[in-house]
Amino acid sequence: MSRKLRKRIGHGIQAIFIKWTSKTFASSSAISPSPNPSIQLPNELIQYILEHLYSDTPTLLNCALVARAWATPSQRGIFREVILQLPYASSRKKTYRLFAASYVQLLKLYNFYGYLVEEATVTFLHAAAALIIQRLSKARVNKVHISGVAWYRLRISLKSALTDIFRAPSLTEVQLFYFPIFTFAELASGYATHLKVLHVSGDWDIRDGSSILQSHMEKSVAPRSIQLDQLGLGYIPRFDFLTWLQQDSCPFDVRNLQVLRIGINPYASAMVRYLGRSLRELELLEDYPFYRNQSDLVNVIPLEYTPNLRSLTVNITTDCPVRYIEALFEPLQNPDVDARFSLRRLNINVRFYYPGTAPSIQNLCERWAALNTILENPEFSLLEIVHIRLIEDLRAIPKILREFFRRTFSSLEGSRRLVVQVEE
Amino acid sequence: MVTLVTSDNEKFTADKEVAERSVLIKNMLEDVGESDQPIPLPNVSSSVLKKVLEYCEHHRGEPLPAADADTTQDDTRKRTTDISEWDQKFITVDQEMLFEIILAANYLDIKSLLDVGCKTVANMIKGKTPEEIRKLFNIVNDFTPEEEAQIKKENEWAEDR
Repeated sequence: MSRKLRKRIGHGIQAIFIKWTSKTFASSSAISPSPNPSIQLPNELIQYILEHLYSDTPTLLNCALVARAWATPSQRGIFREVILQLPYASSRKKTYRLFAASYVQLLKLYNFYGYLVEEATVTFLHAAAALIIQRLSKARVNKVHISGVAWYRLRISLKSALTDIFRAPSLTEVQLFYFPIFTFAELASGYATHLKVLHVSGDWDIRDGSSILQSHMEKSVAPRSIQLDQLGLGYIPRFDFLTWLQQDSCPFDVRNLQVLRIGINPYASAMVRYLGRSLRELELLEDYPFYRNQSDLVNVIPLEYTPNLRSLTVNITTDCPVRYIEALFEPLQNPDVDARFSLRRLNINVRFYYPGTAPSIQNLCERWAALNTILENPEFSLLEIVHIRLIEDLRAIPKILREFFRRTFSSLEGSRRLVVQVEE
Repeated sequence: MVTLVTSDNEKFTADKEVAERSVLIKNMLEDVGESDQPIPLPNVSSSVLKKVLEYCEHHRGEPLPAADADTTQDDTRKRTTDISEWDQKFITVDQEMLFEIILAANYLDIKSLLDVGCKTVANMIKGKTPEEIRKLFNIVNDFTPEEEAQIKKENEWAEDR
């Protein structure tokens, strides 16, 4: 569950939203506190305990006031993540006085389109955001997530601040959602030398992307200057990313890519063929449920091109044909060759979503029994864990289902290699 | 089998596979090689080791976290305070024992047990005032009034008002 800490400033302006993602948990009441405990935990363990509360800002605010030794680790959690989101509400004073910039690891910038707000307000809000971002770019921010930011509508001060943070030597991860990748590539190439993780999703504004690609791109980027370890490609329907990555002028070097997260789209198979040899982790995103088009298995990911894969995560919904999962593993099964697939960990995240009539439990489990048969084969003897997460979405997950899954994957259960988790 | 000797001089025997869930013991066994020598654990009492071995026995055979487990994962992923059903029952002990288990898990280097203990303490902290937390941990407030005011001022930025 997410919680929003909303700030309001004077002048009636909807200004900065500072949103702290948090989850509510049932509190443990089973432990009876000692009236006067004699055992003291060392500060390193207090810090470790507080890290488990990093998603609970209200508690951290109290922890920061317990004692000196608790203040710094609590504030590290409180200021770990800053979200600037339009329309936002904060005091002018507070906006400019972000404390503890050095604790901020992640900056999220959301919804800077500039629509529906009068020009003077836009100018003020962009300037305020620019000040914070500039300060953070000099601190140790290593992750920047951008969503829905229209580059061509930004004021110069904000463009300049974003350029600075894209070029910050501390930057290791960037996520772009509805933001032109070409703009980012142009600004960061040659500078963001420590950038290792890039995730791109969303069909960006073609006006930004096309103009930069056609007129400036090849001249202004430093080719292969950003060596990526992890690449995530979500829903990008209008762009053949692979062709761009293969061009000599591309600023990204993916020859030693370790982790790929990719939506099942027409380019995904080719991408895995191209990058598969170095991959250790692969996640197939469920951003477009192509398999609802029945028996369309053309885009099945060719796992035979991933000889060093250690971890595979498949995100699907309950209406995904198990045939798809079977097809994934089919090329790896070869009884004539004494070869074992390198996979150690298989995560299957099943979102419990079925728009039509709910399949019966028996029907569901019978479908999955086929996968159990495949995983029993000697080719998969290196597999250490199969983690099945059943995620509630639209429909409630019958309590009995976890038990049925355990029975269905009886051999994995017997060898203690199965984890079935239900997320409500 | 492996013989472990606690701080109060009690001997425990355990399957090697169970004892080796402790990275400390695993490394010690690798160092001494094939030997019947008992392994001294001067920082762990018998009552605590009994609990620790119960935990290791239950989780026997489960994959251990790899040394480089975090290198390829998103390190901003949020630690949660969710605890499995069995672990929750296991860790339902008095606070002294809970802290002892945490200290032992840290010393013996059993990360999953350390996590269970720390998550439990984190759950105990949730929703408590600073004064209640001080009482819980037997901590003295060592802030000067000025320092406390400064922390409050700094944290204003993140407060829900």
